[in-house]
Amino acid sequence: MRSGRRHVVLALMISAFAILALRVVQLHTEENERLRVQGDKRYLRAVKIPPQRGQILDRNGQVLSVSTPVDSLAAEPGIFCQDQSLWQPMLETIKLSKKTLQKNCEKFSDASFMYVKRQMPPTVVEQIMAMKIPGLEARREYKRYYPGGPVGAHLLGFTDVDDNGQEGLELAFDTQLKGKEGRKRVLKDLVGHYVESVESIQQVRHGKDLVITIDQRVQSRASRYLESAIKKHDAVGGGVVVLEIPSGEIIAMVNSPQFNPNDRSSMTPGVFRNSTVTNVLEPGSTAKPFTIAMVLESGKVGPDTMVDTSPGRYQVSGHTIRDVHDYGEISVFDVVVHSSNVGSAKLALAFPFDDLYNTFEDVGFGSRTGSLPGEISGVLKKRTRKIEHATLSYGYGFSTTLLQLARAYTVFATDGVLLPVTLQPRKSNYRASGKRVFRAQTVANIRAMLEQVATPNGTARKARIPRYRVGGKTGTTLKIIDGSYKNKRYISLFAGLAPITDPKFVMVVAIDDPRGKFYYGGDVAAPVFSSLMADLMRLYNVKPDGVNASQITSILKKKNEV
Amino acid sequence: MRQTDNPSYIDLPLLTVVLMLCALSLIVLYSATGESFDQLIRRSIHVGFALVVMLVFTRIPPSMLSRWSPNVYAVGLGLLFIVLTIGSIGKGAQRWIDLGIFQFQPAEMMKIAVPMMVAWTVARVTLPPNPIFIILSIFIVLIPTTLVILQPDLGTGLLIALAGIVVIFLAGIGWKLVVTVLLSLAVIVPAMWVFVLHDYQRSRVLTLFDPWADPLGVGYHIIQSIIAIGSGGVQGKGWLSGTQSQLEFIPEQRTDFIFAVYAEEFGLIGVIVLLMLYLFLVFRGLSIAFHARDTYSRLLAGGLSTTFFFYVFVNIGMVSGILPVVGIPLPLMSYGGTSMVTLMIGFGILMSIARDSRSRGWRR
Repeated sequence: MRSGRRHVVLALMISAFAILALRVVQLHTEENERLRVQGDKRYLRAVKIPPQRGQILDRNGQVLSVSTPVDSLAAEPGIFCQDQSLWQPMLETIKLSKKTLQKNCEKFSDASFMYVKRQMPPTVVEQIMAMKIPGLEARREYKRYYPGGPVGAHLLGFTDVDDNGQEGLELAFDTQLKGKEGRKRVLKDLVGHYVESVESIQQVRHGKDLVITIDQRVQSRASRYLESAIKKHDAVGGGVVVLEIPSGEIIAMVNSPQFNPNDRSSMTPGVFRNSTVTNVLEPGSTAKPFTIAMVLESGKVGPDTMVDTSPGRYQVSGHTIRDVHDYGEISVFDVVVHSSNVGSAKLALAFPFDDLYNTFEDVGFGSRTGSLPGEISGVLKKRTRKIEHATLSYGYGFSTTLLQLARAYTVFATDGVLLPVTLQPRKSNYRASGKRVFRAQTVANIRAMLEQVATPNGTARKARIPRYRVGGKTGTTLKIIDGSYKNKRYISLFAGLAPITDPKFVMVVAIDDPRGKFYYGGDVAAPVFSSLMADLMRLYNVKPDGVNASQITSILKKKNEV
Repeated sequence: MRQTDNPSYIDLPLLTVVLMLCALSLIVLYSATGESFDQLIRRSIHVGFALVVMLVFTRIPPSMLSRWSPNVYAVGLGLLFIVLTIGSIGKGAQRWIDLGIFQFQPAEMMKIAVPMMVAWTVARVTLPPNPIFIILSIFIVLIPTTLVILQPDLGTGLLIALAGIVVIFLAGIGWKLVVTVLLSLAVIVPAMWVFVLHDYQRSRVLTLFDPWADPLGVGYHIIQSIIAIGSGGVQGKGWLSGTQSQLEFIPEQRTDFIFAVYAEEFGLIGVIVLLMLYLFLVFRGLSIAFHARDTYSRLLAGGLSTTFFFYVFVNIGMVSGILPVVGIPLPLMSYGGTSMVTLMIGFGILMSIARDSRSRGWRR
């Protein structure tokens, strides 16, 4: 080897190594910061920690709505979609077609994130993650579950796939229930698995629970009785509202037709509406007790004052008001018991329009209860025509929601005070303070009438329950369909309270469009009241007021014999 | 202190550094494999076996190697033909001959056989060799190179060519010729680009110039490896603590890209130490060549050392992003049995040459 060669070779080699060294120095020092950031980007990921949505609980702590953990499969399309060779076992496990996935890959080819399949049991996702498919990651999410299924679904509403409230209480209390998303930085390896948590960027704040006044025991019974009545009378729907006295708490609120919030595929638009607050109806005869109370309040008329209702018809400016029968000359008391339209109209017309209007306004018709989302107010307007004055007296010409009607009846369940209604639990033995509408004496008179309604002499003997004295008023109103009254299409109503001597509950039952043999409120709605109220008495250990002295002694005797 | 003809003599500096690198390779491999004892043990067996082979070759005198050169070369060529024939019968690339216990890559053998053959050929005349011998030597290099490239294994083919050409160069061809060759390369390379290179090879070259242009595609490997190296900093992230390597972001991190793992975990200081060790090996090899007793030994030692240098340079250059990714392992560090044995044979030959010249009176 020539010595010239040696030097050339050595020089070349040393400079080559120098180049390498310089390059590495450059990477390690000059570009270190940039590359470190780039490197961090590859394995450090800020991941969201979804908050667990708060539960909705009933007054007894029973869970009405709960978020259960599920896992979703998400992918980084840039990595995941490159290599489809590992897909097959995954596709089989999660039952997804390759085409769908490929389509998604195309759609999200520019994105850094896409869902592969959402909301699966964590065990399944664990299985998939064990396949170590590059670019695939598991995301913890929550799926809302409603243990009661359709029971009370309208009230509770539901959430969307991201657990945001969409309807009902889920929507109204979304902020409270939702909580706040947290963020943390995690180490991620090449195949997208989180290796470890590095730091918490933002603490996750889980949603707060929401406790409502509903009693799920009552709620499910209400639902059951309502559904069976609807089925029995071939009706299209209905609703039940139960209020507790004197707290004004809503104990039950159910609607029909039902939907199952656990199965989104079963939902059709419109079925979600909580019709007890979003639909209006004319209260019909259930409004008569307010008319009569107004009359009694005047002091000019007593329960025994006689009204001539014969011949069961009454002409008012060219319109005919009719009763079902000709009741002849009856007392004001019997106007309520027999539900005489003629009697109500004559009595109301004896007073200025404003007296009736103000009374209806005072018992809350035409104004929202303010307790629920999506609630509407109904319409109560000043009228000038005499016939309107007359029809208003027996519950036509204005509209109310079922909840408003129930609230209005609290004036008879208390000693004349309209209670504010609420879904927020009060302290036990809470007495809601309300506005006084009637004197206690008036209320006592009306209660006597309402009790008489629920006897074999009245229109609602089917509302009776054993060992308790109940009272109420039936209503059978013509349905308004497309702006006009439809013959033989009814809404059957019953509004009542129990026990009548010291009311603990107000209940309103509506059955929409019963097309069977029966359609009177006393035949269709009253039995629902009876069944549910009987359960309420038992569930709430209400002292019976319908047992007379001889019955008690016989019970006691039996006890002694034992 | 003259140790004339001591049969147990071995070049200690060379052996020490080789052993140091072997040990280092085990340490890095353990980290690169995610602390796998299994692979560590397999690697240890490779290293142990290769060391034994090396020791065997230290006992073979250069004169014997010289005599064997044509035979070794001929056998290697024959095996390459066989491999190529099998390859064309079965589909796709065929590089291996399966000997049952272990697999054997004839191309690997040619990395030694070609410089031996060229050295043997050129050493027969006085230097500088006349043009006929140069042309002969070029054929000796080109035939196996072509066969290997046809496998197709461009990387190894070029390395074989390099190993031969280096010996021709060291033999002392005129500068005029060197310039002529370089100029013709300037013509041939663009032509190769268009007519010879496969698409994947072209894309490898292209991403060299701007790997960030296609970070998820062809540039991915280089970027990942550059990031790993650069994020190590001066002191490194520490053994088993490299985030890029431990989370398996570095491609081929046990083999071709093991330098990235090393650089991330041991930092700039570690890299400098590694480069010094390699430089020492190369210079020690060249020193042995300069002091060799005969032309054959001198050319062979020089050729082997230079080839070794090129391996290191090309691998680190590729992993750090200044050379295209051609799939050359980092000598002694990368995982892989055959190349380890080849390297150790090379060192064995170097030690044998050192022993030979020392017995003839060379002292360092």
